[in-house]
Amino acid sequence: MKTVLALQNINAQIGTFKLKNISLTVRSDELLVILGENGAGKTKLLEAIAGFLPISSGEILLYDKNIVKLPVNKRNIGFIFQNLSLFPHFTVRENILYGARFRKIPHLEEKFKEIIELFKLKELLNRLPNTLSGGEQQKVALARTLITDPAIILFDEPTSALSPRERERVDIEIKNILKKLNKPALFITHNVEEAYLMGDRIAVMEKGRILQIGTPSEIFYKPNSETVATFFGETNVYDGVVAEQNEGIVTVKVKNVDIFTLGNFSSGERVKTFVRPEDILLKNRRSMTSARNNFKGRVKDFSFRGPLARVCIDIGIPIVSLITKQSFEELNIKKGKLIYVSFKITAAHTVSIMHSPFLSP
Amino acid sequence: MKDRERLTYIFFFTLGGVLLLFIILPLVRLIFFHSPQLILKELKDKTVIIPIINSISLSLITASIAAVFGIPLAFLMAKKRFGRLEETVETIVDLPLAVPHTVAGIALLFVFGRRGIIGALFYNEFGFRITGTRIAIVLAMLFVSLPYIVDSTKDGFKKVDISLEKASRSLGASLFSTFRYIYLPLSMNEILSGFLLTWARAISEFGAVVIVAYYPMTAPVKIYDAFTQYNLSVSATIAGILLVICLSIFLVIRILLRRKR
Repeated sequence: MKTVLALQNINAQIGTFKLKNISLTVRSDELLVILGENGAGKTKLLEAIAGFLPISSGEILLYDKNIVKLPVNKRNIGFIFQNLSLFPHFTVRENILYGARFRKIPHLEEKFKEIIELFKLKELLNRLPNTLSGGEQQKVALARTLITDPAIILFDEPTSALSPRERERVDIEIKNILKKLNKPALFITHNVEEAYLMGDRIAVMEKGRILQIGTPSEIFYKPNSETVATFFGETNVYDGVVAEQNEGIVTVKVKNVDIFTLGNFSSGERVKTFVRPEDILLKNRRSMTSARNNFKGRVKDFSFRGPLARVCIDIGIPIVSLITKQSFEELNIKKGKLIYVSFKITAAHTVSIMHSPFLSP
Repeated sequence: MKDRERLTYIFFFTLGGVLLLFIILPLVRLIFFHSPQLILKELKDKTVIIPIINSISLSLITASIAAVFGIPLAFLMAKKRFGRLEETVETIVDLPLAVPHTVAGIALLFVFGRRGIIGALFYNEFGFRITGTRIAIVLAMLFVSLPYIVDSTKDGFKKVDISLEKASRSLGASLFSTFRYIYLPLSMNEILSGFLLTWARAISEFGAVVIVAYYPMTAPVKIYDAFTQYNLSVSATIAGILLVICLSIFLVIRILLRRKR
């Protein structure tokens, strides 16, 4: 698939904040999510791409053409704002047709009809934006951008004002429409679930730089740093040393506990090993499963997270497991209870501290 | 305790009421000083009607000029385009509010008078004297009234959400189109009330105007002129009409401002 947008070593300074060496690409069939905490610089990055913020170095290529020197209105990049930014003095119709005042849009009338049909906005055309519901405003904002046929659409947390349920509905709608029209998009959010739902790939951002780009499962199961790992909720993070390497199976020593994992490391290398709490199985008897990582420990404490139970077990090192309430009751978990802990060798993901610039030893 | 409270309120209401009466009484008295018939009769006199027409037309021209030059300035100020000079520019714009009007008149005379920097140029090159013309009146009115439209419009532009500008730009609009289709209509209330305030200020100006142009007469100058000639009837007629005009402008402003809220 063709690359639509390519950022090459973007640097920018905004006050004391810096965007550092950002490179990424968005393909023509792709929805790339930028995930980061508030203040990570996600919006600033979008604004730099759109042309609202000047960059100090680097290249922004849109269909292989460098657009750094173009003003905002010549870049042909759609932008959906956090507050949607519908023009309050224009009706829905005027809002949607706003771009047509400045750009020649071929087959405008048909296109307008098509888009009205697609978003089911026919009844709302003569209303003012402040009489619309959040979801309706969302549609108008998207329709207004789509009719100008931008090369790519940038979404600046457009659903952050919605309730979780409504957000999911709107997200799915946005994604369906983008896929239907084959529009590539960059979508930023601080919400992990939203990133998971929306992203064909996810770029994790922190302090003005991108830590990792990958498919959701790569980011989730193979984080390259603690920041990325903990983005998806609490996770088990262990600082260890590679003790042995044997046919691809690596033994990582964390205090006195040996964890088996996969990878290519040399003995004595300092590493971090991540294990997702939901990948950790608890049993009352020594298990006969194929899992290579088997431990025995005592329950340190537990608490409830809605339908899930978070159990912390001391196996020489603390390890956190997330299990269903049903399992919790079946296992009859109590403080101090002896329990068997296991997880698959593939559930443990290990990265070298040497190779990752983002991990402090 | 309750009685003491009531007493305090009665006391305050009395003092406040005196103040309100002090404002209303002279104005109402002035408006009803003459019967409508007498006012119509006085209006047939050209020396009465012309100053009124002068005042209305010249102040409207003033407000229009103030708008043409003031709105772009207000936009630059609202967008913080002056950088470190921002406060300086704000102070300069508001200076006319602090300068006594006769002082403003004298200062203008030194620039636009026959021997003033610009006045001399016009006089020597084109044989045209600015002082004592309608142009001089407009200049005097403009000087004292322009801060109102600049300040009000600036506030209006500042209230426009910056993301609307960004949305407009990303949809293909140039900066000027964004100004035209987003900033102007969304600040229309502030621009209009600034325009009316400027107009009202210009129409009531006496001090600066009388120094740069005694003739042709504006209504305030005519009021003063008739008064010094012991013609209180003419004075009161013009004053009453001027008052009604100013009150109307004032009311429109209030209604506009209320509608905005």
